[in-house]
Amino acid sequence: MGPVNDPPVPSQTLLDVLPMGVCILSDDYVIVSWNRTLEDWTCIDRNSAVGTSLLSLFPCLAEERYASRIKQVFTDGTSAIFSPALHGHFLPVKVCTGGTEGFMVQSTQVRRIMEQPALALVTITDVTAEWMQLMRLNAKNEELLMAKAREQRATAAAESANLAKSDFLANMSHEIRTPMTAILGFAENLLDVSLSSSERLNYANTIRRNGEALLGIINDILDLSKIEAGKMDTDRIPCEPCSIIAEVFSLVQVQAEAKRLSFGIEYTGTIPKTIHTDPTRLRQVLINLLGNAIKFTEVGSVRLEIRLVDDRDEPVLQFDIIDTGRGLTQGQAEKLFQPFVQADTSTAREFGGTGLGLTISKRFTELLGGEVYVAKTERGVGSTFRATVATGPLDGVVMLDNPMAATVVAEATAIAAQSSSIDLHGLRILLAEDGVDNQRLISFVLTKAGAEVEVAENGAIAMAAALSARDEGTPFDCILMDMQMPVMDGYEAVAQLREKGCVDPIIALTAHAMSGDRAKCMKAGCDDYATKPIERKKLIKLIRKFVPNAASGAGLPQEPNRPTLQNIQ
Amino acid sequence: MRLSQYHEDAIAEAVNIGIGRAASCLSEMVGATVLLNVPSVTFCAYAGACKQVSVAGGGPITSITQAFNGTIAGSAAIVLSEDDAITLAQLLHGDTHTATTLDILQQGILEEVGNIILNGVLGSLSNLMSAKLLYGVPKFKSNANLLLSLSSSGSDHNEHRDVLLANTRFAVAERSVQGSLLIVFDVGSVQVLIDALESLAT
Repeated sequence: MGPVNDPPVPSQTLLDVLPMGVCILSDDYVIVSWNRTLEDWTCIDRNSAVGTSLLSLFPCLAEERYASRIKQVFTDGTSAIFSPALHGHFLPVKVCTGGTEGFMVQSTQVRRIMEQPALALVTITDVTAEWMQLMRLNAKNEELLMAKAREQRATAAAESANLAKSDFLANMSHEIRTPMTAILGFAENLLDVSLSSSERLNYANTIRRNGEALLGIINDILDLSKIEAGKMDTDRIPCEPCSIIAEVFSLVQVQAEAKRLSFGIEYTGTIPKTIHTDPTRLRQVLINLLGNAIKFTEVGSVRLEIRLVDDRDEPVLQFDIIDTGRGLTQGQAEKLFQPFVQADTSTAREFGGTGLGLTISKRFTELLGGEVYVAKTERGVGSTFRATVATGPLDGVVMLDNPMAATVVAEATAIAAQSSSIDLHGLRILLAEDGVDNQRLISFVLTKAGAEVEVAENGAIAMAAALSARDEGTPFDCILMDMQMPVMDGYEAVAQLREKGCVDPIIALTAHAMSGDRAKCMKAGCDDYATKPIERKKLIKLIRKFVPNAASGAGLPQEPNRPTLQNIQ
Repeated sequence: MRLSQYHEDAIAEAVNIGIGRAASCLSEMVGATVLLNVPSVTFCAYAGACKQVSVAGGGPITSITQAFNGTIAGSAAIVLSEDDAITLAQLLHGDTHTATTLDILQQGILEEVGNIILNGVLGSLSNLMSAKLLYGVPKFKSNANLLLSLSSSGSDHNEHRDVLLANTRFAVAERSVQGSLLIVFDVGSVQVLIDALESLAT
């Protein structure tokens, strides 16, 4: 280890052939040497550069981050390097890359090459190309990482959806088999001739109750599959919210009473007399939410609070369903509206049900310009579910100051409609139906209600019977027409009847509960439409609607008949 | 080589001064407070130092090495695990993208950081002993074979060399990484250092 020996100063010729910018500085920044590459980059020729201060040419170098370290190079003999990532450049040199103008990206080293007089060698390497390439690479990498993350999320979501569907199917299989077992078992019991009449009644009731439950499950599955397929249509018509609420009330109250829960309705502020919405869907949503509230509440009360919220673009009617039930955890509340999910799987075992009701309600309210969500919930205290539906424009709509009065009136009507004895005495009805069991069942129902029934087993026979009755001056009061029949189907028969000037009321009967079917039947010339399975009272009411001398009790507006668990009496 | 407590204290102080200077320089440069901290300084034999460092790092090791020459000679290095090296480069660059390898720009950052820190420490040591040093430029090595990267280019036998080992913590904002700072002295250099410290004491 001897004293430090400075290496010889490199020759100008040598410096000129280097593919990097090279200059030699004295300790006061005066340029001693300036190579050809720097001439090319800066457009400052050697003659003007040498003897000039580098600081006067590039004032940015006076910045502390350069100055302090360059000073140390001269005083202590340290080396200094300036990385492209932290500084971008040492000398600002304009370059054009990929069509855009910017500064050359440089990697720079400053080293002392002589102590007396102090001289430092500055070497600047152009790394713009590498920089650009790296930026592109990083951007691409980032993109790939994001794509991968997206893919992973999608896979996870698909997996969890699959899992939910498998759970659902397992659950559903159980849900369907349970009532089915009861139906088949008790039907077999009924065949026993030695049964007493009270046993018979009891078994028949059990079969009916389980049949209704099964129907409810099937309806839910159909609704959801229609929604999922994007085929759920809504029919927004003017309707009275108070009468819908009254109807729902009268249906749900029975359930609440059975569980000894207090059940009430409260209105806040004024309520429009009429709104534009789909009454069937709205009723379904309210029945579902109230039904859930009652199902999951053991003691206390269930309340329905209604108010008009018109502080936003589109006014909505807001329904709060407030229960004193078991409440939900945050996690449960979040998962609740996903299809196939109940708050937890043990709930399904305890309470039964498909877990589809909330999903369906959520989609329905969305179709009706609103939403459903858990507004408030506390474990062990209770929950508030909130449903909203758009009211449509309210200009010129009468506002009810005392909506409760309207509800009570409507409720009385609804109850009267349900409880009034409805019969078909003196009516002559033609039933076109090919299924022997259904012929027997419907004939029985109609005859029991007092009607005289003639059965036709296909469209052609029905048409002939209707026309000859008319020609004899004793037309049928009403024709019930199954739409799927051999020889001539219902569509054809109705079309021909209308063509031949038959004006008898015709009600279509079909097992297809899809909304498009109704339009198809109406287009063929039917006056109305009823779906199978047949609901006795509903069918009778529907018939009376079309018989001119019908008594009161058929005054409720008729929506497409969709069997609902709750309104089968 | 045994150093007295007095020698170790003096050297530790010099290293700390140098590190402090480097920290303020880095802070100024990246526009954020950079804290550098050297809790302990030890001297050990070359082979022992290598063992200590490689155990501390785990995984692949990276290093920034800078040679020095003059009154005393050898090479100085900052040794980091690859993960810590990536983190440090990102901390100083304010970079958040998720990299798993070091690109040339990050290597450039590490070289500059190493340059500043090693200059600070070596400068401080040379001031202490009024020595004159000529400094090389730092070189980044990824997946470095530590023995190789620190071995002297001269004919010295490595096993006879002494190593000053300082554990270092780099912190920027809320985050920090651990590394080691090593100065590998060529044979005889530590004696020169001790002599200089002795003459200071008298």
